[in-house]
Amino acid sequence: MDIGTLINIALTVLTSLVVSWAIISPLLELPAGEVALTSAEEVSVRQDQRREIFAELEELEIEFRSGKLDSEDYQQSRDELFQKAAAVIAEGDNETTPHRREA
Amino acid sequence: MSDGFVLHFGGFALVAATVVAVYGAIGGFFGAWKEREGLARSAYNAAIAATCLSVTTLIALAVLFLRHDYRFAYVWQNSNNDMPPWYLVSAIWGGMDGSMLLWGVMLSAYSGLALASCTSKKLRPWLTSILCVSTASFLLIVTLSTNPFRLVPTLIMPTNGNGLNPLLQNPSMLIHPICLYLGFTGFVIPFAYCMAALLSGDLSGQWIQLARRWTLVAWGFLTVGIILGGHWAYIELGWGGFWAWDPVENASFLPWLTATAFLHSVIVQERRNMLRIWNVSLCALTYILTVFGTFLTRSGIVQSVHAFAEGNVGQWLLTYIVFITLLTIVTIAYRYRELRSPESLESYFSREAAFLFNNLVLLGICFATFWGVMFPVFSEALGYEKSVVGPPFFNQVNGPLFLVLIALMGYGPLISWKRNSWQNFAKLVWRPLLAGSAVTVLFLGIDGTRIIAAVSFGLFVFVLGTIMGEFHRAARIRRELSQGEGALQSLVSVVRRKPERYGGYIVHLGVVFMAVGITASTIYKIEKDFVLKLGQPAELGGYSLELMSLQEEQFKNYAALRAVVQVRDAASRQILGELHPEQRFYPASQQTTTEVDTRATPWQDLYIALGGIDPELKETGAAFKVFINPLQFWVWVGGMIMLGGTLVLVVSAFRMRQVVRESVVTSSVVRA
Repeated sequence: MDIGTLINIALTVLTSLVVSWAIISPLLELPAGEVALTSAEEVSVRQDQRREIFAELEELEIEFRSGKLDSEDYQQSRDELFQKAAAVIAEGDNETTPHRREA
Repeated sequence: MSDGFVLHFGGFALVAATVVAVYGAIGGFFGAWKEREGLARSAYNAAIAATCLSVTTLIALAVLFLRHDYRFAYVWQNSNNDMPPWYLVSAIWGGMDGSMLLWGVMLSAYSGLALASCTSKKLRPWLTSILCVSTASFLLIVTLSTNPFRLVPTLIMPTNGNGLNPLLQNPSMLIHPICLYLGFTGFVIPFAYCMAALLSGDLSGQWIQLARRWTLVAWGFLTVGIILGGHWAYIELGWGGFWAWDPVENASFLPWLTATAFLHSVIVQERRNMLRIWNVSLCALTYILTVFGTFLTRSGIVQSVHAFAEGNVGQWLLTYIVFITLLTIVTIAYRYRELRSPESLESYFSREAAFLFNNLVLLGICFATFWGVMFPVFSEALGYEKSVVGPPFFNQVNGPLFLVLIALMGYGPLISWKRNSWQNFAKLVWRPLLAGSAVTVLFLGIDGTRIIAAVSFGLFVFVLGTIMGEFHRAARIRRELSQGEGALQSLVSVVRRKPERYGGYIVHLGVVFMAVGITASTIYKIEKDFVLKLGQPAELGGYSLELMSLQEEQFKNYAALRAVVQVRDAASRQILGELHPEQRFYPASQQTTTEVDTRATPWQDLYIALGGIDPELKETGAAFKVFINPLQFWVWVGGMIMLGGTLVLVVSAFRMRQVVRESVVTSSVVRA
């Protein structure tokens, strides 16, 4: 058996062991408890929403000043966006308040 | 040496990657369905392991090529001792087996990237399962049907190989297939997010944002791949054009069209929460069409210079297409009620309606192209004579649709969401409309017979005017609001603050430049076949061409016949330069190729292809094909502008994610 074949066999065995361990080890761990409800993911989604609303407001301003919108339509769209922003901020506050209290 | 598999690490890694991906698909499914976190994590690890193993497989194959290991049939068939190292690398995807492996590896690599960047606990197990289904399917086809680690079926070890197809021995072929495959395979991520959202029931806006980001990446690569493919055809095939509506070209174009439609309609969902079923369908259709494209190229059902059909790959791919189509239909039907949009179209004179029209036109082009590609297959299947649909069909049907699409690119930015007034629209549209009309009248005045060209150029100027107007207005408002920013600074600020909008406009600018080049080089093209004799110049389109010499040169893996043609201005006799078109003969594959030479200026390309030595003239004359392609240069410039705009869009999409992540980290630290 030449050195190349030996290296092949060694690499094959080593890879098999590493891959098997990576796949099997999560199955052997005890199930974790309940995951915290306000995860980073939810905060991230809300921040995305806020960012989008602010971007929409800025775009609305540019469109109005460009002359694409009547003042009536502009006012109505702006009010709608303010309401959406208020709702998102309120939602965020409701969920972060218990954490602040815990801290 | 026995027929079968040698104990080679690449071969082992391929089989292991396949097995592990199959486990990831099943484990991910049950982990998500039964909500078992351990199983879901195990499947996730399997998906990452499949990525590492499949990449190892590709590296192992590259090593075999670089070492000229002709024990392996694929290496022997696609390379030889005389090929330079860079073509040995491109030989990996030069044949069926390697190209299928590259597909599988890229799918797997994309899967690893998508999973590593996915933070959604609800979507990730389903995402793992769907991505592993795709990876496993392709790796399974490679392992069982197109395995590049098969041995040469002979007892004697070959000392030299057959060599790579000479047409593929071109620098474009080092990048073009990679970009094309990165485009094709990248659409697996939006598809997987779409299916994960449908299966998990999490139909909030998150999946659509993530799908949009990855669609942009894949779309960018596919765009570059298609343009590089066109450039390769232009300089390598010697027929003077870059797009022939060849079935395989069309196969790459179909998913590009649906992905373009998706990138527009997704904005409507993000802004107005509309077109939800439409978007899910478009996202799935795009991925289905990428697999369909692979099926077209590899099944042998259509004839093309790019196609390579061997074995039973077509059946495997068809089975996979049927599976993902059924999965899409069943999941959409299952979530139909939740998918129905609460919002409706308020007015047809609105931006959302413009996006909808844009989608309908794009799908119209897609359907016409699909019909043209499949018509010979359908006609033969129905018992009629197999009739081929050529470029005139595609140009006649798709040409007007493209003009409508370009018109929408000018109309869309001028109107707002929900509803608009004609007075406001008229105030914004009159200047670009006047400029466009003036150009049309000017062209009609120059040549009244070319009405389509006159209307097209007028339309391009109109769109250019509206886009420039958008940048100008936004920069002016920005300057007013910021008080102190310079003109250029405010322009940059506008793009930086709203890159998803102005990046899109940059892409549209690229499309307009490209359309100018395509229209001019198609309608005003001049072509002529010449026999040039030494010392006897010929004239075409204001150029005087004189054959100066014919030289034979011997290179390592080919013999070249090179003509030296002097180009002069026909009127002033001023020398403009020399062109060196070639014919190359590759002894290993017994094939001859044409290497054209061009004199490219922003106004026109002088394009010369050597047809061969005239037998009657022996070495004193040769046959040439000469083309003059007006504004061809702008096709490539347009492509580069499109790439620039896409980069703005992609960077902004991923930077936002990063900003969100950083702010999440910061808020966690503050909370702690």
